[in-house]
Amino acid sequence: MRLKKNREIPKPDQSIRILAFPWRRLVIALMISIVCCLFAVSIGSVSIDPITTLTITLSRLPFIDFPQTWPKSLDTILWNIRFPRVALALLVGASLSIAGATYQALFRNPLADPYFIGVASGAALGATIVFLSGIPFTIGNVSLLPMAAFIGGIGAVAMAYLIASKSTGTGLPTLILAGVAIGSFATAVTSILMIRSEPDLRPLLSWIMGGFIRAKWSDSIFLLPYFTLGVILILVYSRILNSLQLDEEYATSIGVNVEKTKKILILVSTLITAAAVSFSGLIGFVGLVAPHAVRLLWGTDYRTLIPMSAVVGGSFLVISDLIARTVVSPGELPVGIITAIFGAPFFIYLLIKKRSEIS
Amino acid sequence: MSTGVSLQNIAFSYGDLPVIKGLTTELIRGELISIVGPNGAGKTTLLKIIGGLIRPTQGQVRILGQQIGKMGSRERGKLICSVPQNPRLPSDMRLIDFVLLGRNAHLGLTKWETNQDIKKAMAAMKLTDIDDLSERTLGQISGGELQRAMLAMAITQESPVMLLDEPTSNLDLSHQSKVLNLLIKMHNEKRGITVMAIHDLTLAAQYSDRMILISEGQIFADGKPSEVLTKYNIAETYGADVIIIPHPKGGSPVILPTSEDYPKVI
Amino acid sequence: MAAFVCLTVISCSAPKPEQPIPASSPQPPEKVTYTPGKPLAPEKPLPPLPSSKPAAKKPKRPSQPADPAIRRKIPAPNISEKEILVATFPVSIIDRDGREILFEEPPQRIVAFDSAALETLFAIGEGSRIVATHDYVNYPRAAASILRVGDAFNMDVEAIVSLEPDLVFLFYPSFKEQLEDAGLKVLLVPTIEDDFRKMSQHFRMWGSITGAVNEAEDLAKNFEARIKEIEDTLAPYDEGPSVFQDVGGLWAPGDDTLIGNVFQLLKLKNISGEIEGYAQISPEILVERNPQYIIASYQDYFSSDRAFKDILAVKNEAIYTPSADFLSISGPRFIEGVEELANFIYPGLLR
Repeated sequence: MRLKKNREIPKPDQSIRILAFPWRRLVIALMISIVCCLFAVSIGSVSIDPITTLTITLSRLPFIDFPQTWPKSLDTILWNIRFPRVALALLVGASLSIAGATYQALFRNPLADPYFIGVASGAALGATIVFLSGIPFTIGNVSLLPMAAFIGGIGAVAMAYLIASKSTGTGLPTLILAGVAIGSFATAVTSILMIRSEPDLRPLLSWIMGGFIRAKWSDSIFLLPYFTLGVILILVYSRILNSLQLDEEYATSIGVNVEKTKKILILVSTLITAAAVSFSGLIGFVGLVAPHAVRLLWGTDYRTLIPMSAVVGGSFLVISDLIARTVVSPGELPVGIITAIFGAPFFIYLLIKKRSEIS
Repeated sequence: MSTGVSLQNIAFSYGDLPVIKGLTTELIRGELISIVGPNGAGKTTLLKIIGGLIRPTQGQVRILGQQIGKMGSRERGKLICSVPQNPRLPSDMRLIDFVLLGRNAHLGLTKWETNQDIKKAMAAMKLTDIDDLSERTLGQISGGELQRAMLAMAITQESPVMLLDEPTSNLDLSHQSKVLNLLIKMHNEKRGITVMAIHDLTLAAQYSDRMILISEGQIFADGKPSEVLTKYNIAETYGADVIIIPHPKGGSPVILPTSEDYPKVI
Repeated sequence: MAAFVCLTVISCSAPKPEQPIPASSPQPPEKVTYTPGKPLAPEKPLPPLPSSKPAAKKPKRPSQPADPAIRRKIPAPNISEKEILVATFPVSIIDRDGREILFEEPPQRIVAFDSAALETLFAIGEGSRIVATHDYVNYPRAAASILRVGDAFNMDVEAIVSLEPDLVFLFYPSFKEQLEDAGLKVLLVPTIEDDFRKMSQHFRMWGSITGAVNEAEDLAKNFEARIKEIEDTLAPYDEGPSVFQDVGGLWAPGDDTLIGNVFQLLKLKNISGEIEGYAQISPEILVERNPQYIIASYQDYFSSDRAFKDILAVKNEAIYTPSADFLSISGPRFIEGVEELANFIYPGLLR
């Protein structure tokens, strides 16, 4: 954002938060993201030609009616399988990216990802318990697995936070350590449960590795309020997130309530991560790599970083899911493998680049 | 005293190690104070306590009659500004964005920077002679430029009480006096309180009208620089032998270190 | 995360321990829609098959002394090329690695770390030879008192050694070396993962090891006869209905799996047939290929999902949940599972 162009305007006192917000970039990014989604919807393991796809999609709009010339199964595939899947991937990718960016700001650590303080291990433990206890996954129409994962994820972070607040060390390094400890503990318990159990572990493992194979519309509907709340709150705090790049004392000296900010942002980020993970399993690299990609392109102003990470992360996950579900058709790969294949080299590139910069 | 900062029986320990032991004093509005003392005496800790960045294990800090620990963060930011010595800073932040951070205390959660704020930031950068570097990132400027940038940020914060920890340690000769002169100018304009921790005794004496000599966590001497800087005081606190001569311009004490091997001067 | 990756690698590389499907109540077969033109109910009543005795648990008989004149060849399981000369005793069995394991006399203390082996031994009346097994054995009831010495991934080698067995039977190789180093006799025969017809060979193998050759032969012949009955009954028909098996999370078997072979026996068209082994199948493919039957442990998974409501199997409520883990254990009860499945798909076709 060039200083001269955006900030110096004739009206002297008008709050320029509107202009500090990257509207133009965001709109362009959103359009690209919509194109990605449409692209993803039109491709799948069952090939539907584009015209049919278009007609089926359009006929869902309220005022347009085409006579149904296509088999019902295509309609089901498009509307009940592919669209919900793309929608969920978009939301989950956006949620993870925003949470990742926020954690990176809060912990002042470029390696932070949304699973930093134990959400992932807690969610996996919750899912494992439900899976192995023999309770049916769905009671009526309500799926228990996401609920258990959500409770597990939040529970793990809450415990880590409790431990950190009771210990004498202050602040974030303690929280990270507590999170790692709780996370390791949860992972250990999960492993024990798995090893001591008999059923085929493949469904559980592939849930843990992450995937959208069973995405329904209701998943996105459940996730949407968490995501909306999260993105609005974090955006509101994005100016303060900028100031948190200074160390905590410096941020305090310019009048930031660091403690309160940390609490709120950790809570919100954990909520949206736990919510996302409970529907999608543990997909790695998205929350880590999307914010860094945005930083490379547009710098570290969190007012730009947050919304753009959401869009970039969401699109990345949509495309990764597209690859995961078409490359070994009729089978599917866990989407976490695809995000790792793309994310890991990019991450290595980032590390090398950072090493060569002298700060 | 409700027109300044009052410290009542402040004590602070890092774990079992006491750093500040029972310190009481008043900082009066209008004073330009330097805090001196040997390494480890507690200067930085004292500044952080005054600024509300560290909570003392004992005692209270009051500013304008209010306890600093009980104030809201933004309110405190509007009153007190602390400039640290060598903070860790993000190397990819633009200078203008860095300086603008100083306006935080005057903005709300949903209020972002206006043109006024930008103007003030640019003015501050002009004062500290870094306005041509506004688009550079913090990683691309020298140590001295960085120190001036921190000062510019403090200026934009517009707080009556300013605490600076070694504000000139990285500056070259010309910038040293420029910055200190600027500080004096701002101090005179604001009529607030400016406190600087400086290790260079001569400089401190020249640019302050009250000097507090700290040793082992307690105030050893407090008063005009010429009163505080005596051979005896310096020997007791620094354990160093010095020669003190009056400055040719203005007469403030100039401290010259000496030693046994140094040829004796009359 | 690393732990999960490791677990995945382990679970994918080790031969899979047996997988019971949790028991739930059997579904009454309901009206189904077949592909028109391919009738599956017979038009004429079937000729009665010769009655076959089910394998009964007989009281243990003392083993017969060896008759050196009789040399029978029993092909080692899963290694059809190799033939071993087998006398009633001594008997030598070729294990997975091609080594000959010699039995001078029937082993008296067997650690049968395999559900199929244990059930086979009980079925031929030799269950009392077993001194230890693994945690997941739940049949027959007589086995409840047998000591458990390990689970899916672990074996308590010390406990096994302290039992002084004269044979340890394994179906996966993880602890073979350790046990052999401890001086124990180990027979490693991998579990059958493709052609279930080989099970009768396993039955015969146990018969020759324990000397209960007649019981084993009966068991094997019974098994083979029941399979033949199914084959013969279905012989006139080209193709049966389409089927999809979900072992969980849309993981489905290909044609080369054990259950895939069962489908082929029953002339069922496995819609995930082209998969190798097990893989997760795309829900789009499932909808497109529209199976007439679904085999799954959790009905709700399919019946409560809007995406699947138009699949034939769901519309006709033709979702089969196996009543027990018959098809998970490659032993004497496997054929029960096959028959139960056949009766669900072709009600009244088989007796």
